[in-house]
Amino acid sequence: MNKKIILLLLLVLFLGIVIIISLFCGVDNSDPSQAAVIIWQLRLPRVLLALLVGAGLASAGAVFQALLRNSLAEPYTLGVSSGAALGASLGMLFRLSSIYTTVFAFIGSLLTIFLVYTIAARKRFSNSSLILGGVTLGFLFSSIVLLIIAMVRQEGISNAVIWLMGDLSSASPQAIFLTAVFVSGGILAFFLLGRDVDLICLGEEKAMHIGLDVETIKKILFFIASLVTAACVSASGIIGFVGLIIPHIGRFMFGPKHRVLFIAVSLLGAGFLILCDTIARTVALPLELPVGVITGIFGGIFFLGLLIKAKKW
Amino acid sequence: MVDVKNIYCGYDKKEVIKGVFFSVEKGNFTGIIGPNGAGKTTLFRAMTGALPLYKGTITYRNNDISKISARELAKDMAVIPQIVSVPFSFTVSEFVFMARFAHLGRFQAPGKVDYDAVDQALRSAGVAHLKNRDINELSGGERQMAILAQGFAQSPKILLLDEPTAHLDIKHQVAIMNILEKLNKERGLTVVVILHDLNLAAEYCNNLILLNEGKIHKKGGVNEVLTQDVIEEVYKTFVAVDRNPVSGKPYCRIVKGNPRVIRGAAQQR
Repeated sequence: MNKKIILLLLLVLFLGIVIIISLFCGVDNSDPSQAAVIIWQLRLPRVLLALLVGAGLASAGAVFQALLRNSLAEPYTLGVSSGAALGASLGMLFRLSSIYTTVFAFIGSLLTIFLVYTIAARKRFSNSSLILGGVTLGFLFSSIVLLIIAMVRQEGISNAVIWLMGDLSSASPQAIFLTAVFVSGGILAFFLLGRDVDLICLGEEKAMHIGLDVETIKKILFFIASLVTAACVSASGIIGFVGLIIPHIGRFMFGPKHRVLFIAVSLLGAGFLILCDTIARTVALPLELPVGVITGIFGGIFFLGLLIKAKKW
Repeated sequence: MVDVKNIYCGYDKKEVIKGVFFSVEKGNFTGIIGPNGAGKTTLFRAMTGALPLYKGTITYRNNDISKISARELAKDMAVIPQIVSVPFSFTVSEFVFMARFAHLGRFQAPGKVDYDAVDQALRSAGVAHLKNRDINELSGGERQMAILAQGFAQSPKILLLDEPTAHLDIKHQVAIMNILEKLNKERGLTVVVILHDLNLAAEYCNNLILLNEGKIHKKGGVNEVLTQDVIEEVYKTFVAVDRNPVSGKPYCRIVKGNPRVIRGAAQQR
């Protein structure tokens, strides 16, 4: 138990260091008054958003993997991201400002959550109905997004492509605030439901026999994890990898008990995404790379190494 | 303790259990036996409250089981299903500790009662030395013992088990049945267990329910249920029933070949 607490403290330290590095890394500006503006008004909101989105996606990913009892599940499995993408690309199609992109994306993901819920509710919330319903809706919406991109060859649509690859640069303060509310509320709820999530891992019938009101708890977890995902995606586009792999790294370090796991993956996800975003905006100056590309490349190489080296899996 | 009153249940309109009545008294050790497809597991799932009934009622201490919350029921009733799959690498002690869920409030940290219950459960099932091992890395027998320990840690008054000895060697089969018998005798734990092995059922149970085609073919003491005629009629298999030389309980021997010829030979002799 003490070992886990020390590990958690180390993760907090890691997160702190990453935040400081990120704030002071980037285009060097000799004028001190301008440097302050860049750090506090440009980089800080961006670091904050990366922290929130990283923590939100990683913890929602851990919830979905337990809920669906599937280690390939992630926050985007149930189509929330595709719904958001459809909303966002419609917003961009009408050349609305960035805050409306966020709002449209959020509406799109809420619509998806509602549809998946309606489909699954007819099947007593079985895992296969959630997965099949979610994945199919996801495909449907993604195809419509591609249709929009293919048909509208106007300039603004390249923004949509960048958004699809994940973009932490353009979020408005309102979007950051929205994300902060959903992510912190969500992680708190996950933590309080940690024991329930442990039980759900054993399967619905066994969980019920140990005393869990399975259907209610599944609905609650589905809703909260989907809302957290919706808020993250709406503010930052579709950033892959974090929600899939960070939970595995968390379980590798801390074991599968969910109360500890949720704290761990939140710290890990936040630190990881801030680090990736720092790399994305500094590695190819003056060009800025989409953060989703960096999470995939760096995260992918790191995890492949871990997969080959570790005795687990 | 549990009263099953004229129940009908099944899956998707397909009726599997058709009008079953019986009662499990407190402190009983009841075995449910019957051929494959007789409806044992369906009946079992109905008794645990997992399967809704078409007709009839099942009560636990005179309360309709479908109206008792999962949490309340879990404080009294532990259930060991045929298969428990654990997708992540929980340690044995983490796994067993989950059983305390119903006894703990949402904001309540586990206390001495809970730790004691878990320790005792691990010791009863003989898996205390495995408590820090990954449950998925245990052998089949050890794993089943850990699953049993989880059931004990729930501090149940009644324990329902669906073929707890399936696929295990005789050492583990006997170990499991011995633990159940011990808890039944020493702590008055009521046990309801589905068994395929008629001889294991004869040896340990004091009541048997023989299920066939969704109905109770016969119920009662082992000597009434496990007779040659009854078994042949239900299982359509020729057996010779005699006594276990040590315990004096009925013992069914299977015999190969054409039943009529062999029976004729046996009668001539």
